Amino acid sequence: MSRAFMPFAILAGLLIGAPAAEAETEIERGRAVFEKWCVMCHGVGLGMGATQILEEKYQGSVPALLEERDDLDGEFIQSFIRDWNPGMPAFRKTEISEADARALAAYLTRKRGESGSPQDSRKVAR
Amino acid sequence: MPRPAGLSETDFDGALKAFADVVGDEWVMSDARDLDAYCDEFSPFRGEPEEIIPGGAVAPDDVRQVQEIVRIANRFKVPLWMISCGRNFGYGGPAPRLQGSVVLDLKRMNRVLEVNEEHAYALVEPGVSSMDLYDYIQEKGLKLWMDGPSPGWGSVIGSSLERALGHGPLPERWAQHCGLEAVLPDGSLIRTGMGAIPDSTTWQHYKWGYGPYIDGLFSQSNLGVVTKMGTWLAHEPPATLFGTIMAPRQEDLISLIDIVRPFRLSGVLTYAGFTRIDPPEGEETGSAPGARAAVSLYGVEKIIEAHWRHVRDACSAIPGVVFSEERFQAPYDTGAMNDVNKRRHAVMSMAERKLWDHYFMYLSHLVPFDGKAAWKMLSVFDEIYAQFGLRFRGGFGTGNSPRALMCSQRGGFVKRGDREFNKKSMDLVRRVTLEGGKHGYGPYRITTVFMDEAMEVMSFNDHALRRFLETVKDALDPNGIIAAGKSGIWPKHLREAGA
Repeated sequence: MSRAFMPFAILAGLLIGAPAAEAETEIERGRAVFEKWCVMCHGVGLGMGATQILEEKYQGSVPALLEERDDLDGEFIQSFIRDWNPGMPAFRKTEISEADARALAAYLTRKRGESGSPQDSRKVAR
Repeated sequence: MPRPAGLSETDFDGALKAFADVVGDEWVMSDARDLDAYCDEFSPFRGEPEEIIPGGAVAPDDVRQVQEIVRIANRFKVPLWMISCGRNFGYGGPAPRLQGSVVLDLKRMNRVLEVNEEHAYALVEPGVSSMDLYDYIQEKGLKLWMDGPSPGWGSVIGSSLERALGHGPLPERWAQHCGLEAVLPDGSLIRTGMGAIPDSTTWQHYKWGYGPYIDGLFSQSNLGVVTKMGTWLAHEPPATLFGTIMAPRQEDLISLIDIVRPFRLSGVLTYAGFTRIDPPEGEETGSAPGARAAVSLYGVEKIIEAHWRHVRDACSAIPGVVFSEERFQAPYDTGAMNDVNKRRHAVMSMAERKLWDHYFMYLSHLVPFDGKAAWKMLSVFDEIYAQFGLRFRGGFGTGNSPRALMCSQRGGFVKRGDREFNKKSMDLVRRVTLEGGKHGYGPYRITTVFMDEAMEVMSFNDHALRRFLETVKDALDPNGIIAAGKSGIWPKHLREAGA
């Protein structure tokens, strides 16, 4: 590669990589939202009522842990959290903002292998 | 969406626009979809014509914005209803009492302003939940404990102002508060206690300040918007012990309460709760194990062991009594604890979420910490519930006072859309409240639907308490814009209109 062309190549690489980096950041943000607002009921461990309810509901047909699902719809998630559902209250924008809701959806619909390491054990064990 | 009665569309819309100029368009909600989250899902009127629905919501980010919002509300005569985290489910949730009110959502004010490990206190904003404060303490590695009414997503300030009961080492939530800051109905700012001194060094150290002590005026109240509050914490105890005392007959509850009382009163026991154990549905009363006490001790292991032995020796006067206990020591493995132990260790959880299989209206009444008085209360409530074809089930706790028993009950279940069922539930709650009042049983807290009835019970000297509070309300809030109807206190123009 010629020296003249290199800056353009680097710039092109950065530009191509930028959306991926942004997506990665949004997924990480969504993970943080999940750990703040969702893991208390949808996590693993004692007292995780929502996980238990979903275990009973699905009987193993789909994972009870939301983070293990690969069939969730982002639009559905963003809408679902705004409504009361049996055993789960609505979350206001002052709790989960629109941006946080989008990030949460991105996290729960991420392709496996992307950011999404096992839950922090301290949060789980609480 | 509904508007408050008597307020023109022009004025209401003008107010919302003025709010938006303060907080930004994003943080003024008037869309039906957004406002649905500010309704009371537990209300017996949910989805019915009688349901109280907010006309809007506004979410400030700091004290200055709160002051501006209050001034605007005065200018346009728009009623506000403030919420901290808005998770007061079973007591009204985020919904106002007056149709069309604008909910003042303080959740965005969620800063932990200070946590002082040496002196064991925190200073927080209203949007800080118990969970938030707990996480802050854990992340900083501080050896401090707090108390947290379940579930943990309730506001530290909100639950303290509501005088919610605790379960752990500091069960009297309101008693732990020390100093607060509030925006008054005219938009001015006040700090109570030693906070009235500029740059005070003792605001969270000494409660009483100088002169009349006014903090209670902001508790279960509509005389101002609390924007900061100090709360005392506890240093992590080296050891804890949770004891259970089981007695074979239901009537043993009387002796159990009387024997345990001096230990709770002296502080040997940090918490004591009592349950009359009823047989399962369908079985006759008296055929099941009778009474249980659950107690908590925190401190140095040798001392709490000696105290627990002393308690057991005293309770052994009850024939057939059986003891069990669980012991924990620092460093605590909270991950291995069950829900009850987590709560007693003030580890935030959503354990009480399991109660939400049905929606309900909480109610709790107070009786002296006395065995016979408690037994009589049970028989009064037994009779009322029986008249509704129900069996009363409830227990007594001492989370809010070492001298009183609080009988908590989920008195009225709610089924959305079933008007007949919900009417029966409301009739039950109303009967328990009003008839309980005739026996001297006052409510410690109640859902918004029955706040007027609860205040009705406080009738000494021709309702002197309510008249006093109305006088203060009229003086501080002549336009009646702060939380109309909270605790049965209505502003003058609505009293005159027969609200």
